[in-house]
Formats: sequence, C-alpha cells, structure tokens
Amino acid sequence: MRVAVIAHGHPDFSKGGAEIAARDLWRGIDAHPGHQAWFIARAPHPMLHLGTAVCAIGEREFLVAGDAGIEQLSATVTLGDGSDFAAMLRAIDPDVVHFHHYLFLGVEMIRAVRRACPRARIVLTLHEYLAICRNVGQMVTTDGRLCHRYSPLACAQCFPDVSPEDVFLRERYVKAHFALVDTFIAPSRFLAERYVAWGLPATRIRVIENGVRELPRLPPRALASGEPHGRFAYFGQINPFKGVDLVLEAFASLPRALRRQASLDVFGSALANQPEPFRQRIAQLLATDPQAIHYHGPYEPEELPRLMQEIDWVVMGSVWWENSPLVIQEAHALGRPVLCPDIGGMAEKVEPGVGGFHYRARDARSLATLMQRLLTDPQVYTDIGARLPVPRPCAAIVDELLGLYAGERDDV
Amino acid sequence: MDTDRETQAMPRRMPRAALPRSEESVGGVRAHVESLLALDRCGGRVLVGWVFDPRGQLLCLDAVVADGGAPGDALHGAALVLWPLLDRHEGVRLLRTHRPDVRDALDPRREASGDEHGFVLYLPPSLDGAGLALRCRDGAATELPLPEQPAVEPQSLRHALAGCWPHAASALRELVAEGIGAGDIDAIVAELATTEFDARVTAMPLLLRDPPTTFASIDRVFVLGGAGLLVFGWHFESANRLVALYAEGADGRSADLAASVFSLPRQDVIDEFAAAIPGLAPDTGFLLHVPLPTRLGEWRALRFVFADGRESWLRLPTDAAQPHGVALIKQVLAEIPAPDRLRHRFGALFDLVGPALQSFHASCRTQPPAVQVQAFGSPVTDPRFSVIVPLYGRADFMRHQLVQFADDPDFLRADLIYVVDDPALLQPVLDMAANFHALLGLPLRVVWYGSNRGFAGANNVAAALARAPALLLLNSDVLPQQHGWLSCLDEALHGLPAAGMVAPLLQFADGSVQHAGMVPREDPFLPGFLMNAHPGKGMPWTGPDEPAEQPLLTAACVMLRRDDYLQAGGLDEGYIVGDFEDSDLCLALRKRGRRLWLVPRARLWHLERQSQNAGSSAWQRQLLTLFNAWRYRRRIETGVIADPRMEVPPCASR
Repeated sequence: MRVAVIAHGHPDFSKGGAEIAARDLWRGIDAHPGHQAWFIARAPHPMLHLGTAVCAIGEREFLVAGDAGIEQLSATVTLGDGSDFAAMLRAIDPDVVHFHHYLFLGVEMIRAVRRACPRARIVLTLHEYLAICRNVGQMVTTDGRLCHRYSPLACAQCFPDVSPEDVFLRERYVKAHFALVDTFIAPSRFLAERYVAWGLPATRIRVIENGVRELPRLPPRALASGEPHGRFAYFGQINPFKGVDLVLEAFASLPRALRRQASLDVFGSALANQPEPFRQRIAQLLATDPQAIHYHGPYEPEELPRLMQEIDWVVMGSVWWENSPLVIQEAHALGRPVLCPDIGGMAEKVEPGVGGFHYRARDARSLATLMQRLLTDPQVYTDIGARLPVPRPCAAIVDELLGLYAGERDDV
Repeated sequence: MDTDRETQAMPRRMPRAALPRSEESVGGVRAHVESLLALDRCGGRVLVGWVFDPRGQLLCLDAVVADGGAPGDALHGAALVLWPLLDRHEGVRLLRTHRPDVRDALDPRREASGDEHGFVLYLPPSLDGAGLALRCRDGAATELPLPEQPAVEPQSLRHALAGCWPHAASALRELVAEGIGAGDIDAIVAELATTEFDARVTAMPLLLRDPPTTFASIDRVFVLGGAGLLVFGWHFESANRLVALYAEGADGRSADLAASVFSLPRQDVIDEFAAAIPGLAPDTGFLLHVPLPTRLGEWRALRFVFADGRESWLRLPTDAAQPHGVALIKQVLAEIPAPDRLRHRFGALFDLVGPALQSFHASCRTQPPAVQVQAFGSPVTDPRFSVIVPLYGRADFMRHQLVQFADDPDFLRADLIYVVDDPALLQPVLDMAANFHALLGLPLRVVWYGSNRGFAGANNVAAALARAPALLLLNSDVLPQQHGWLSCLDEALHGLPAAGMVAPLLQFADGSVQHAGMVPREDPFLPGFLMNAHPGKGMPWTGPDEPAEQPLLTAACVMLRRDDYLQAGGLDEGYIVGDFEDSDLCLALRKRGRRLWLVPRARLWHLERQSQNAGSSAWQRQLLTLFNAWRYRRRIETGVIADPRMEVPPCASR
C-alpha cells in the first residue's frame, strides 16, 4: 500500500504532538514490508524554493507551502489540476492520503487530493477543535469560560467583529471539504463527541489513540527514609492555556511544612514567546519558594526517561479541554501517574486511581488539596503504581491504521 | 403671431385717420411696449413688450410707415402702410418670450395656453421712425403707443436692458448669438447677457432677513438636469403674506411653484427665531421641485411674491459640486431633516419628488454597459439552467457557493454566471474564479462592466448572456442545503399549473424561515405604501412539502423561463439599488397569466444580514426603500403590473 501522510508542520521545525504523531506514523508504515509511505509536511512559504509550492527534502519526504489561518482555514497555495501540489500527489500516486490536521494546510487540500487521486482513501486525524472554534480551536470563550457547544450566535459573542452568518459560512465551508473525507480519526472519545455534536457523521469517526514511541517502564523513584512521594513535575509548553501558573499557585499554597518534604519541577518550553505580563506572573510564582520550586527550561524528548526517573507525579494544569495530550501517554509508559483537571481528553485518558487523579479544573485550591492528600498518604502511590496502564505502542497503532486503510469505507 | 398667420399677412395700405392708437385692439387683444432702445452706433431699435391674445385674434404685428402714395391718389400724403413684421425678413428679428407676470395679471385662471406672451423685437435702421400696430384677423388694426426714448449710449443701454430683465433675457441672448447689427451693439448685448444678468443672480442672496418681506434661506440645491432642481431651504414671513412663489431662469422661463412645495420641520430655525418671532410654525423648512430643466451652473432664482406687491429674489446656486447617479439621489434623501417626524407624509413627499428622482435616475442609465466576459473552463453544452449570481460588497460568498455547487450533478447542466456589480471586487472575483475553477473543475463565467448597476441591472446584463432556457436568479448569500435543488425547481417550473416562477424555501442559518413566499401588506405606520411581508419569517418551518401558490416571491432565489424574463423586460432598473424589482417582475408575470409557486422541497440557506438595517444612515436606506415602494405602488395603480392584492382564482386542476 502507498500511503501519503500530510502534516500541518514538520517536527524538525515545529515540535507539536500532531507533527510528531504524523512523522511516527510515516516511519511506522514505511518500516512495514510491503508498504511505502511518504511524509508531506507544511512549512511557511519562506522555507520553500522560489516558484514552487513543493520541495523534496529527503527520500519520500516533502515540504509543501501554506499558511492557512484559523479564521478561514483556507489554503494559501494553488491546488488546482495544474498545481505543484497536484503534480506531486500524482507522482506519489497514493492509495491512502492521511492528513494529520488541516490548520495551515487549508481544507481545500482535501479537495485537491480527491481530484488528483480520485481513488485514494482520505483519512483525517483531528487534533483539538479548530474547525469548530475560532478561538485557537480550544472551545474556550474569549473571556475565558469553558465552551460546551458550537453555535454561530454564541461564537459571534466571542468575536464581535464576526457575524453569526460568517461563523455559519465557515462551518459550511469546512464541512463541504470534510464531506470528501472517508474516515476521521479522533485520538480521544471526547474529541470525537465534540465533532459529532458539531455535525460530523458518527459513522465516519474512529477513535484511535496517537501512537507513542517505545519507552522503558521505570521503577518507582527510590525514597530516602521517611520521604513521601512528593516530587511533582510539569512537562510541556508554558502558555496560559496549559495552566502552569495554576500548578505553581497550588503548590505554593501548600503549608510550608509540607513543601519542605516536596518539590515542583517545571520542564517547559516557549516561555520566552509569551507576553510580558504572563512571563512576569510565572517568574513571580517560580520565586515564591526557591527551595522547592525549580525551573529547568526546555527539554528534548530523548531526555524524558531520565527526567521522569527523578520525579513521582506528572502534574497538568490545562484550562481547556485538551484532546489526547502526549505527556499522559509518555508518563504512563514510563510508569508515572498523572494529576490532571477533570475535563475533556485529560479526564478521559487518566482514569482516577488507575492512571492518576483528577482535580477540579481551573481550581488551584482543588489541586492543592489533592497534593496534600498524596503527600500525607503513602499507600496511594503504592496502589496506583501497580495499576498504571501501558499505552499502546506506535507499532500497534500503525497496524490498526493499516487495517483501517484496507477495510471497507464507511458510507461513501 | 404663429407661422400660418404670419404667412397670411400681407402689406396693407390704409388712411392715417383709420388707425386708432390704443393698447387694446377691437379684437380684445391687449399689448404693451415697455422699453424702446434706439441703438446709437449700429442703428435700429430694440422693443421689449407683451401681447395678450387669449382668443387667438391677432394676425400679426405690423410696422407702421408713412406712404407717399402716387400723385393723384386720394390718400396721397395721408396714408400709412402696415408692413407685417416677420422674423428674419428684411432684417427684422421677432422673438417670443415667457411672461408669467403677464399671465398672472391678465389670465389668473390659466385659460390661455402657455405664457409666451412676451416679445423682443429688433427693427433695422430701414424701419427707423416706423410705429408698431396690432392687426387682427378681422382686419381691424390698432397702433401701439411707443415709449419716448432717446437714442442711448452703451452705458445707458445697459441700464435699459437691465430694466427689462429677466423676461427678455433669452431673446436678447438669441439676438446676440445671431448678431443684430455690427460691432459695438453686439458686444454690449453679449456682455450684458453674460455679465449683467449673471451678476444680478450672483448678487442675489442665499439668505434673506428682511422683515417687510421674508426670512428665507436656500440651503441645498440638487441639479437633476432634465428633471429640474430639488431645493432645500426654509422661509417664513413675519408681517407680509406670501401669495406666489416662482422659479426664474435666464431664459425668461418661469415655473409656478405653488404645487411643488413640501414643508419640512426645521427645529434649528425655530431655535434661532422663536424668541424674536413668537408663534413661528414648526414647519418652516421646504423641499421644492423646480420643474425647469437645468444644467449644472445654469442660473436659477426663486421669486417670492407678497400680498403687498413686493417681491424678494433668492439665488438658487446650481454650481456646487455634487455626486452622480444613485449617489446624488442618496444625498437628496439624506438631506431630508427629521424623517422620523414625516412618516405619515412620506406618500406626499414622494408624490412631489418621486417623478423627478425617477426621471433623473432614468437619465443616468442611458449608456448601455460595456460588458466583458471571462469564461473559466469549457462551457456546458446545451445547459438546462443559467444560474446568475450578482456580486456586490463582498466577494467571498462566491467561494462558499462554489464549493457547495461542485459535487451537485445538476451543475453538469448549469450555465453558471457571476456578475461583478461592484468594480472593487473585480480582481478578487477573477482570482477566485481562476483558483476555484482549477480546484473544483466547475465551469463558470464572470461578467463585469466597470460600474454598479444594482440588482436588476446586474441580472439583466447576465440574462442577455444566458444560454439556458431557464434562469435561476440567486443572491450570493444563499447556500444550498442539499444537492438536486436545481432539478427540483426545474421540474416544478415545468410541471406546476401555469407556473411562471418558482422559488425554494429559504431558511436562516439557524433553520428558521427566511422566505416562504411573500404577501403584500399595507403598513399602518406608512400610509399609502404597499410593502412586502414574509409570513412565518423567523419561525420554524412547519408547512407541507407540497408546492403552494404565492402572491409574490423573493428573487433571492427564483427560477423562471428565460423567454418570460426577456418578454417582461427583465427586472425593472427604475428601482434604485435593489428593492421591489423582484415583486415587480412577479407581478409582470402575473399580469401575463403566470402563477408563482413556492417549492418547499428545495431548501437553501439565506444569510440575510442584520447589518442591512443598521448604522447611521438607516433613514437614508429606508427612504430609498420608500422611493422604490412609491414607484412600485404607482406601477400597480397605473396597471403596468398586476395588483398583488388581487385574489388569484384557484387552478382548474393540478
């Protein structure tokens, strides 16, 4: 089978979970005997050559130009029959085109694939909620409340310059292109439900987790005598949606005596890109207890086993729903339980008492109470360590997808 | 003094004693010579006066000269010869002029036709010393007394001519244009015509605060060319009483404005004068229509005539920069003060200004558009429907429609035409057409003509280019909900009894009804107008799927035969910007016995925008709508189109 995997970014230049999952999929399929895969990653226009929208950067590895914004999700390169993109696709001649995301690429790319490769099966893996929500696809209102349902009227309240009719037009436009997709893949049930509520036919959505690379299951961290499992750590980007500030606040509010037995380590990237007031707030929170709170800066994925060896709990603070955060699978694979908000994809992926524990989303007090309980009850860690799930490895996901590619189409 | 009579007039010899001197002839003809100017250097005389001849008794004006006679003749030395004065004969010029003042004085009931009672007469030097006589059909003649007037120097000639201004102005200008003599006099009169009169008008005020006569102001004058002028201003009298109001022009033409004034509330005038002048009426403002055809820069004046015989003149400035076409009409409407206080009088307002606006609007549309067409893809052979979508204001609706059309098999038989009715959109539309044609493979044509012709004009241009027997008129903000809607409408058009036009159910984005047929409605808030109502608008659709006959349909999405469309003359472009032209077309079809059907099985979304009725110029837009509504009502009442209130007899069979 010939599979083209199209991603909205290349992990060499943009380290998002979706980009990494897409490349893992490409490599996973290509490693299979009897299958060939191509990786086509979108890149900003200046990274491309003059006069062409495509660029081969390796064997079966391409960049394609594009800068489709959130507002319209509309392609910025020509995609018609005579376009570079169509010529590239015809040269690959895929049996399956698997999109990871549509942001930056533009939804018209789905149409271009349908025209250039009329027989190819089109698969689209959904990440967050950009087709549904203009507010960075987070389904959080612009004034910060969690949003439960798409509605043109409500969306226009979030964006006063946008009329409900324009919201509706965007919906119809995206759906006109989504109608050409044979199978959607949702990495979480929660995300699948949100897209079905928005109007995607449930029969065309399959819930399949993103693959996670092979990681060693670590033993619990060795404790000093009398020491609790009190090392909390945050891994991931530092931005307002991820709620690091909430985690810091919760930890800082613990009684001093407890904090002396515990620590909070922050491994985070992208802080420098954040607006000044947010950076200041993070800096102030980091400084509340320099003995117990440590900021380590960004990390490489390869470092993760070593970093997680030194900690007990992975803590998430996201103030939006999330989809299927990679860090949950990584933590579970490495044998570390996760503390996360009780909403969305996080709540789905962390079964309380099995994969970790929930606290009330957006509530630092609730997290602090949870931390306090974990610090004072040593039995909890022992119990959960025995139950931690083992995420499905990449290879298993690839096998499942290959089966899906070869199977009957749902309702075309 | 008309031509056939002039040709009957022959020179006549008669005894001096037989010629009475009077300003009134035996035939009831009255005349008066007001000015006699002897031209000093070039010779000849100019006479300015009037002849009032209500019963058509006058045969001709004669020059009266002494006749030597033949020796032995009984009349020798005592005879006169009456020489008929014919324009352009023997160096004579005789020109008629408008004299509304004469008509007012002698013919207050307007029994005689017209007001061309005045004359300007040039007698060449060969007739120096001759008198002037009236000759009636019955042969009776009367000599007119002439004013004593010495030969004048150019300087006093100027005053003399100025004295008979303005009634002689046009005739004098004509004399100058053709030349009445040599050298100086031509130059003088030419100068007078171009400077003296203009100077008089220039010197006239725009604002008058003259308690014995009037307080008045000319605020804004709109020049509508052949349709005359629309004038905004205000006036009130503190002591005097206004008895007549005229518009005057340099050509001596005058218009009685008694029936052309629409009073307007002017709070600002009250605020300024109420303290000084108690009891001031609230409606001191006026909008008046001057029916005199007027070019930009041509001078016009308002003449107020008061009970005590006084007059006041105000200048009507016609040289201010003004926009063209529809923009001018919009400005006129925007100038109307406090329209919220006039609602009950809008009917009368448009009865006054509507015909002028209508005629002006028509005069702006005389140029046929230079249409350009670009085809994207090979045209569909033998198309079944031509889908026509005008684009105005925003272009992006086009791509939203195209992606919905792309996979509908009906579009394999569709001749798709986008009409750029907004020059600013041309490039984006062409780019989008190229892009989306390449992406979707859907053939289409883009039509443009470098101007904004409105909804009707845009559709008419495209209909002329349409290749299919059925037309589907479509707004750009209408999106199909499912495939097959075109065939559904097409089957209805050809299958339903007497169907002339069919329309789908249109729904807002939330699914509530936007259009399920329209009905005429007399709005109690706008007496005299016939508006359109959308029954069920905003409600969920609960009607049956079966087609239902309707009094009216909206052209946001309708299908009709191309032949019917063309035979009805297309959409009427006399409506401004876009309103009622679809109802008009519906009624034109109904007048031809066609029926209108709603076909609810075909469903589309119509994203009709709230913003259409928002913003600061809401009243201006509403007045434009009302102009169109006024025009619509008039066409119904004059039988040009069917009356939508008429019950349609049920179909004999289905």
